[in-house]
Amino acid sequence: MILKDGLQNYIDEIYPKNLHAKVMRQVWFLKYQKVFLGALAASALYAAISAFALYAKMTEMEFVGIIKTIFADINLNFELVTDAVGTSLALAPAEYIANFLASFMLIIFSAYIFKRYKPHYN
Amino acid sequence: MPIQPDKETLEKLKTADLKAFEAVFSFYEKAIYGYIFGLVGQKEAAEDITQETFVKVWKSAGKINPEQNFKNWLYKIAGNTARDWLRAKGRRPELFIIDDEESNFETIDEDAAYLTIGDASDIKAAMEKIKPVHRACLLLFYYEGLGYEEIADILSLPLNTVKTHIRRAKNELKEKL
Repeated sequence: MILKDGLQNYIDEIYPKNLHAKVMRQVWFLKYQKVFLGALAASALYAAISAFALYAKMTEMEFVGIIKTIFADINLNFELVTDAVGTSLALAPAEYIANFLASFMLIIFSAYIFKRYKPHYN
Repeated sequence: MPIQPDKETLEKLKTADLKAFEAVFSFYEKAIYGYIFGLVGQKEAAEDITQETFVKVWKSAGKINPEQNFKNWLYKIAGNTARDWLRAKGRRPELFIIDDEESNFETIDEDAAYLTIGDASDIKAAMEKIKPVHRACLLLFYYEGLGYEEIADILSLPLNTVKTHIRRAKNELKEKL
C-alpha cells in the first residue's frame, strides 16, 4: 500500500459516521431559522391571546371594552381589530382551550426543532 | 464518490443553495476533519471544529470568490478555527512555533509518497503516535497533494518551516512504521 492510500484509509477510519448528517442538519436549520423564529413568535403570541381570551371569558371580563379603551388611549382607530377580537370572543371556552393547546403544541414543536438542529458542540 | 466543486457550484453556494453546500461539504469533509484532527489531536474536538468550520463557510458563503483558490480559503478557516480552540483551551498552537530556520536545504523526495506500508492498521497506529503538527502537514502534503507554497500560505508559516515539518513528519512516520 502506498502512503496516499494509507492516509485515505486512515481518514476513512477516523471520520465520525454521523458528522455528515449533523452538519447538514445544522446548515439546513441556519437556512430556515428565521422562518422557525417567526413561527415560534407567532405561536407564542397566539397562545398568549388564547389564554387571555379564555381568562376574560371565564371571568366575564369586558375584554372588548378593555381593548377599545387601550386603542382609544393611544389615539388609534383599531375598530377592525377589536371587531375581530369581539368575534373571537364569541367562541366557547372549549374552543379557546383548543386554540391554546394548538399554539402550545406549535411552541413545543418549534422548541424541539431548535434543540435538535441548532448548532451545538460536544 | 464526491466530485470536486466547480465554479458553478461555488456560485450557487454564494446564493445559499443547500445542494451546492452539500456538494462542497461532501468533497472536503473528510480531508478537513483529518487536517483538524492532525492539529488538535482529539477526535471530539476535531468533530466540533469541523462542524464550526463548515457552519462558518455557510455563513460567509456570500464572500466566496469562485475565481480564487477556494481550497486554500477553506483550509484557512479550518486552521483559524482550530487555533481559536487551542487558545481557548489554553494550549499553545504548535504551528506558531517557527523552528529550524537553517534547514532550508531540505527537499522532499517525491518517492516518499510511495512509502510501503504493511496495512491500514499500521498507518493508523503510526499516525496517532506522531506530533499533531506533523500529522497535519503530512495530510496536506501527501493526502491533499498541496504544494509547499500552498501549505505555507494555509498555515501562515515560512516556506522553510513547512519543509522542515514535512521532512520531520516523514521521518517520524517512517520510524513508527
